[in-house]
Amino acid sequence: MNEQTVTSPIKKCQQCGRMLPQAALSCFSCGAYEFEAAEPPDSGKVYSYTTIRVPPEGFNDNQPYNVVVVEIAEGMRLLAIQTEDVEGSLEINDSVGLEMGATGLLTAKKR
Amino acid sequence: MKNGAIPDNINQLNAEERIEFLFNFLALEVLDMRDVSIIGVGTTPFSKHKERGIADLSLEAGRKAIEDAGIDKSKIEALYLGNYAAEALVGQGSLAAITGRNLGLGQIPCTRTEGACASAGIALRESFLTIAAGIYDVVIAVGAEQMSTCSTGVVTSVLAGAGDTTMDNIYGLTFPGFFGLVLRKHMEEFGTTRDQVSCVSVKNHHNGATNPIAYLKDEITVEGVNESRFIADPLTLYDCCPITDGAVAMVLCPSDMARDLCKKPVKVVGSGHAIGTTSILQMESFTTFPATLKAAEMAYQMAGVKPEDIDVVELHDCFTIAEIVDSEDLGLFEKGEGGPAVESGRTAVDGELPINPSGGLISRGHPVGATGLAQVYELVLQLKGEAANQVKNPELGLAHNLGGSGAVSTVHILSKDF
Repeated sequence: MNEQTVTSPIKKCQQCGRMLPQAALSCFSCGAYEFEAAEPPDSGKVYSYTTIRVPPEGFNDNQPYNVVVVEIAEGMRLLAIQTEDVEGSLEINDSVGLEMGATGLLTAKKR
Repeated sequence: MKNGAIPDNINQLNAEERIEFLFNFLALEVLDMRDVSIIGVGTTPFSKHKERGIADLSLEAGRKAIEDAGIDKSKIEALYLGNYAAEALVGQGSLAAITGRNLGLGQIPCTRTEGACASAGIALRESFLTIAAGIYDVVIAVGAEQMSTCSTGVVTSVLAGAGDTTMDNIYGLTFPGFFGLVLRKHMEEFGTTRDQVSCVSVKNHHNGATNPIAYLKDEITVEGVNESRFIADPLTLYDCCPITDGAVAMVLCPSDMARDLCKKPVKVVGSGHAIGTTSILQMESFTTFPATLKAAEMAYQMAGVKPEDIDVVELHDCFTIAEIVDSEDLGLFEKGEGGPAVESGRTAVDGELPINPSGGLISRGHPVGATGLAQVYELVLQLKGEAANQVKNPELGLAHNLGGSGAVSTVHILSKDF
């Protein structure tokens, strides 16, 4: 396993192939408990997003940020954070780039 | 128990079949379940009670409920207390025992129920089930929360803990954020408008203004909601329920006993409790909560009634958009019709189906562990004809409580029994 695999925010269900967040304990689709390594795709489509203006204590230095729900395949979604161009840059169905951010979180960037 | 109730192959059923069987078992009253009624209710005012402790609030509500029931407290055999986060918010655990002790209930079992914002709905459900099953005759259900002594940041963090901390919260998702995502999707899928959503806040503020126990007493306009500052776009400040302290309690017993003890008992004719999705990434749709659908199905089936039979509703409007989604999930309106319904006044106190005549969570306030019982408190007053914002002659009321990011829901249907 290379280092990148270990830090991937994503993994895949061994049984049905669904992409899941690394912290998932059972598959959201089929309920299986076995997973394999996977890398997130480099882009996806905005399913919904919100601008958080009252963050939990200290999160993102208390600056506003977008939480973006990104659809990577029909019905299969990941969360990503957008900390740049927060204001008014996104619409539902926009294509966004996905990268691993410095904080280990998936980061969305407007294309 | 009636003849032929249990199939011979009961031991061969898998878990899902067993649940389905038990569900039908309760719903069809194959088991000789007893009818259960509410004989007394009590509440604190909903407010910011910064000088009081949470145990003081739960004691006030409990004392008032016992006094209203007019029974000797030595008759109470169990206590269920809904509370979400007293350890984190005010540093106090063991609140069920403390409340039982302060009420002077003797060494009875006192149990805390936790299901985030649905904690008190679960306390009612457990009280109902244990009486219905014949385990206890008299039970007190209590719900309490104290939130105002913490900063908004701390409250936001503690409430966020009701979502999945490992998958959702690491991205900084908060509860307003979760409902911001839901609102944006509901607008996209159904064309729900900003003004329609604001009408929920306008209506609930209007109702709360004349409810003596409600926290917020100010009326607000559609423009006022639209133009208030963003909390989690597109949600604004007046889309959100306020941080509030409060406690509610009620005394329940078998309906046969209730008719002797009480002039106006209110019967619990349907009860449902189900889990749904615990992470936003598990949701197939952002515009429906499966926990509500299942809990409502259970309650309607047990009561033998349909959504169109309901006369008054108290539902979980933690945010304006939640009222619209809930009203659709409960089958009161078609999907996408919740927004137009509130805008056209159909859910006002004098409308065809009044929703949240108390002011709801948005105006009455949302001490999270108390809310499920606060809703039932309002319905009991409505059915007795004693509510501040009295709906015309209601026969059936429905209470809907939702916890977490769609994680858990309870639905209760209440009927006059006098």
